[in-house]
This record gives sequence, C-alpha cells and structure tokens, in this order.
Amino acid sequence: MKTKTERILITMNVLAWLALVGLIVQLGAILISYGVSIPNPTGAQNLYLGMNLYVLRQADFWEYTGMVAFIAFFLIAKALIAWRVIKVLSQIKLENPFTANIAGRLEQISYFIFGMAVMTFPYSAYTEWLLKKFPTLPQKYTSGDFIFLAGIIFVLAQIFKKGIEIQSENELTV
Amino acid sequence: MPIIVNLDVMMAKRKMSLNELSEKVGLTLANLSILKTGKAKAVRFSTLEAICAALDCQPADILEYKA
Repeated sequence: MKTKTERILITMNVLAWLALVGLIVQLGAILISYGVSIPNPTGAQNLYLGMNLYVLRQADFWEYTGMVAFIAFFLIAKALIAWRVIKVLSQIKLENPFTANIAGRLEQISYFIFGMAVMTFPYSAYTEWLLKKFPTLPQKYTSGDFIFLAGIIFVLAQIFKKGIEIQSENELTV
Repeated sequence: MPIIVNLDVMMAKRKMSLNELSEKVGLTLANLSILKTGKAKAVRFSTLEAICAALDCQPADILEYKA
C-alpha cells in the first residue's frame, strides 16, 4: 500500500512532466512564430496564445529579437528546473530519502531559480524602457518572486543536507 | 579524529576473532568492522559495556585519546 506522501510525489512527478512538455511546446511555438515573423512581421501578432509583439517588431527588429530572447531564456530556465524536479522526484526513495545526490539537485534548483531572479533585473529594465515607447507591451516577470522561491528551496536544500549528516551519523553509531 | 579505537589490539591480546566477538556482543560484523576501522562516529554505552564484558577489559583499553 502506498503512503500519502508517495502518492503526492507520484502526482507531482506527473505534473512536472506535464509542465516540462508544456514549456517545451511553448518554447517551440514561440521560436517557430519568431522564425515566421522574420520575413513576415504579421507573425509577431500572435507569438503564443495571443502574445502580441507586432508593434515592437514593426518598430525595431533587434528590440523585438531581444524581447523574444528574454522570453525564450526564461522558458529554457523553467524547462531546466522542471527537468531537475523530475530527476529529484524519480530518484528520491522514501525509505532512504536523504542522499547527497538529492541534496545536490535541490541546491542546483535553487541556483537556477536565483539565476532567473538575477536575469529578471535586466529584463525588467529592458521592458520598462520599451514600455515608455510601447505602453501596450506585456510585462511578465518580477525578480522578487524568484528570489523568494530560490531562498525557500535553498533553505530546504540546507535542511536536507543536515538530514544527510544526521542519517550518516546514525548509520555510523554502533 | 583524535579518538583511537584499540579494539584490534584487545582482540589480539584475548586471541578473539571478529566472528567470535560479534557472536558474544550481539553486534553485526559490519558494525564491528566500522568500530574496528575507526569509522564509527559514536558508540552506545550498551555496546561498550558488551564489548568490555566480552573482552574482560576497561573502556580505556579500547578507546584512547591522542591529540
């Protein structure tokens, strides 16, 4: 019989896979739309599910490319995080959850999220600068959320590391 | 770690094998080996008591502090 935690972890694993597939599809769609919009600017009217950067594309191709690059960067970073979450969820064993491998992966996830948080600063500055010229542009990411999330996961990774130490000490007590 | 485990010395003095000690003390060979090789991070009083009883010695004969 599976415990409640096991069922939650299996569900989370499925959700993480769905998130990864969704992010890859979104990234693919945006990159294809971007490719289409290079020769044909009307392609920028609907990059993905109504994301409209047509005004920017018409005004300056390189500013438009910069915006798409930022969006693609965040999608790639999110996909990498989802991949690492999948790895953690598939490798964790509830009988012996505190392993150095899992702790390392958790720490890596926190660094990735922190990297995203750092990247939101130039992104915010860039979008604010663009918003002055084009007030209708969508602004999606703020750094505060990512720093908070990175902090929480970093703390969890540290607690996990302490757990490994205690477990190792317990195993080496005779 | 400056705590040295002299279990092998006492076992040699008493001419006792690891298997024999394991049976007398009730510890697994793996755990005794951890203790003998100095990998152990802690020793329970009950284990120390059983080892001292089996080897007819004092805790100080098994554990030694070297700075």
